[in-house]
Amino acid sequence: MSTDRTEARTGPIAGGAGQDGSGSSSTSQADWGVVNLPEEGRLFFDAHQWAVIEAAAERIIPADHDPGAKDAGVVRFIDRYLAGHVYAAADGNGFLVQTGKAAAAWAQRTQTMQERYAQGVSDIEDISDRRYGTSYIDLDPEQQDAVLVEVSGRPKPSDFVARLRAEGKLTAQGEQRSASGIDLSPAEEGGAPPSNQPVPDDALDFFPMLLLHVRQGFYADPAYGGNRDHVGWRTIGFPGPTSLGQTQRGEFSTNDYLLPELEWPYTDQ
Amino acid sequence: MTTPATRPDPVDVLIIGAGGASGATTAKVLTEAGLRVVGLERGPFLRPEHFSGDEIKYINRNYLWPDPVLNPRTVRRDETQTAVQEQFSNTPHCVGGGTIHYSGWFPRATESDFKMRSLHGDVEGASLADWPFSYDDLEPYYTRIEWEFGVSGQQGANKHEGRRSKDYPCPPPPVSRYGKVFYDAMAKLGHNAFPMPQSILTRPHNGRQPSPNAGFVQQFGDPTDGRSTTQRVFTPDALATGRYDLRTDCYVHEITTTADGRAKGAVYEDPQGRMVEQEATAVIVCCGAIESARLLLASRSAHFPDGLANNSGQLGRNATFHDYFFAIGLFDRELTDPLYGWAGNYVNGTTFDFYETDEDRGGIAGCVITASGLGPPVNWTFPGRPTWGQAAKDADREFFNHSMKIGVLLNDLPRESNRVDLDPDVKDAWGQPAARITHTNHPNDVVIGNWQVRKNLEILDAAGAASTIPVWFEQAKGNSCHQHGTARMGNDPATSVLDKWGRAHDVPNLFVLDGSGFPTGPGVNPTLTIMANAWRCAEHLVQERVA
Repeated sequence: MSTDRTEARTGPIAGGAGQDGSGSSSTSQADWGVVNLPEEGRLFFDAHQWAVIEAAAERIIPADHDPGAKDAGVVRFIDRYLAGHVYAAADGNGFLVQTGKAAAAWAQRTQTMQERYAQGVSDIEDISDRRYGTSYIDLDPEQQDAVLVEVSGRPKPSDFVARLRAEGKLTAQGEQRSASGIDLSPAEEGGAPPSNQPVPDDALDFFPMLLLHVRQGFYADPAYGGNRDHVGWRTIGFPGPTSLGQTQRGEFSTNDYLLPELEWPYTDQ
Repeated sequence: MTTPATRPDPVDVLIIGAGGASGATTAKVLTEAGLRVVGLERGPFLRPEHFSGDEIKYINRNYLWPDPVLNPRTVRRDETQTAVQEQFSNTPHCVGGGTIHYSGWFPRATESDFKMRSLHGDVEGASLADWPFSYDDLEPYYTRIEWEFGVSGQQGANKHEGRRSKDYPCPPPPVSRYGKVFYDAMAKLGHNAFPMPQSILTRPHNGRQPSPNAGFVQQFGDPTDGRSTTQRVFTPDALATGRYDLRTDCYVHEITTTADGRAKGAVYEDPQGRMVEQEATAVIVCCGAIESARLLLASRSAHFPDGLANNSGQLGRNATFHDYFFAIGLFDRELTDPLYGWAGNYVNGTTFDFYETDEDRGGIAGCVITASGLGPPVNWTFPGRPTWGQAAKDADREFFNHSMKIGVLLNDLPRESNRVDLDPDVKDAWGQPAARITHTNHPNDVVIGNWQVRKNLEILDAAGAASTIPVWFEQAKGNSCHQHGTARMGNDPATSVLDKWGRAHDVPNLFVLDGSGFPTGPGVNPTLTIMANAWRCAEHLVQERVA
């Protein structure tokens, strides 16, 4: 199976512009080229790693009356990223080929994540073997969950929606109090929506990294290899564009989900 | 420093950080007045066709934001700590700068923003200062920028709005469903609410077409005509004069000076890695408040051993960053129609009812709040959301279309100890010292910010939320990408870096025209005020030159 790992890693950070010595080829982000990837086949994972990550992803977003991570092709999304394909082309056809300093920086991050996944798969298999004497791939779903619980070091998340329904309200849990004396609500999981200091994913431990990438693969534009046939978007009711090209051409609109007939002050109250 | 390989002919004006809000505004005003200008922009000239609705690219993988490996910043709370690397106050490095990733909130500052010291006196632990000019001085430039950018807004809807010489050029965008819920709740509680002015076209304007409302706004580059940026509007104007030489992918190492202490030009690394020295009669720095301070501090010489234009010792100090946090509402899908938080242009309703000082809140100043969604699918989340398994999938399915937030933009008070300087250890990919941010909020920020979160929870309750989740000041992860105050404008050279026209007190042909000069943060999103002030100062420079 082909891999471009070695190629992606070349070039020191200090390299950058004009490192070919000719000074003729632009390394500007504005001039990055595009590479097309095969629809099928693996780029980074070996067959065994692929199968373990695919099985774990399916427990992270399981199929029910809606498709799950396996149907969405989440493992292909992760495989492409770990092979160094970071940005889809603007129209969604192929991936950008980075050059210069940016390429070197991404090669460094990619290598870190490759190593974390390789170790993570190995840990999953070790735990499966110790607990059940077999590969993670051959476990039943409850056993697979138990392995993920051990990998994560935390209990499996409980049924939030049922709890909300039962209690009427989500109440603040825990005794943690802020400096100004107010209760802090439970933020151990999920986290707040992004503000402006994202945690770089290469800084995460394996399990939170896997959770993040599985979520990304389920809900990202299908150009990245996951969210196949928009199964992720359909699960949550996001209409989404038919392609990135549709948005690039300015042909995608959310007007059907707005209330254009209303005028300020927009209220009958 | 490598000896520059080339020295192009000197020009009238050199703008460093030419792509962003202030740099492009300055380039337009100066070139249209007949000056020959070179603009240096460290980032690329990305075009609209580079952009699309790609959430992973823009929110998760820093396609626009500075690569943290190449452009490290370090942050610490106070001088006793060792600063650690963190992505802090990200703004894109490219032509268009912050106007490329913003969702185009475009409110004017209020009259009180210009006179915080006069209004509140000497507040312990803060370094309040009046601006050396007033709202009325800036008003004509607000109007110019609004009409150049085709800002959408509702005249007369903000009952706290200052004097306006002209209406908004475009009507507001369609109200969103979560916006409607916000407006109903505000009316129920007896509050004023109005559409946030946005630099988003809602009808054809100056040959550009209105936004299709694709919904990929906050942090995304816009492939359409709809959102006004300095890539689409002022940079093309400047280039059309034939007097603007915009050089992109050019990284400035140092501003050089003459023996008699004037700015001479700048040494930069061009896209081929060659060192170039460009000389100019005047040098204008427009890199944003963090990077402008960093460049000036790094431009040391015998004449300026503590950094260029830093005789006062104030360079880098009094930095303000606008913390951003919020309250979240989850709604019962069996009782409430979908809110579709991803539809439209990210924000919808806002209010200035909590903006001016009310001592009953326990402090001074106040906050702008805005209703918005929780983000597009990948990054949509809330504190307490289950992260994996059936519970996670159920929560996503239940609330993705039944959730919203009301954000708090905190007008953090300036403190002399909140500052930007040069990290002693960490260097960027060009070998230059990283900007080090030292920052602890004033106690007033905590009190006012958390008062506002409580108020936003009340509004969400009134809106019918089944559950509300606070994200308190203490839980906020990050600020709003707004930066101001590292090179204060003022009339006294002992306590300020720039005069009221953005000129360095210490260097008569050096100007800083971005948000660095703001003595206090405006309590609102600063881009419009940055552009209006840059226009005002650039126009003065032209008039002075003619005289």
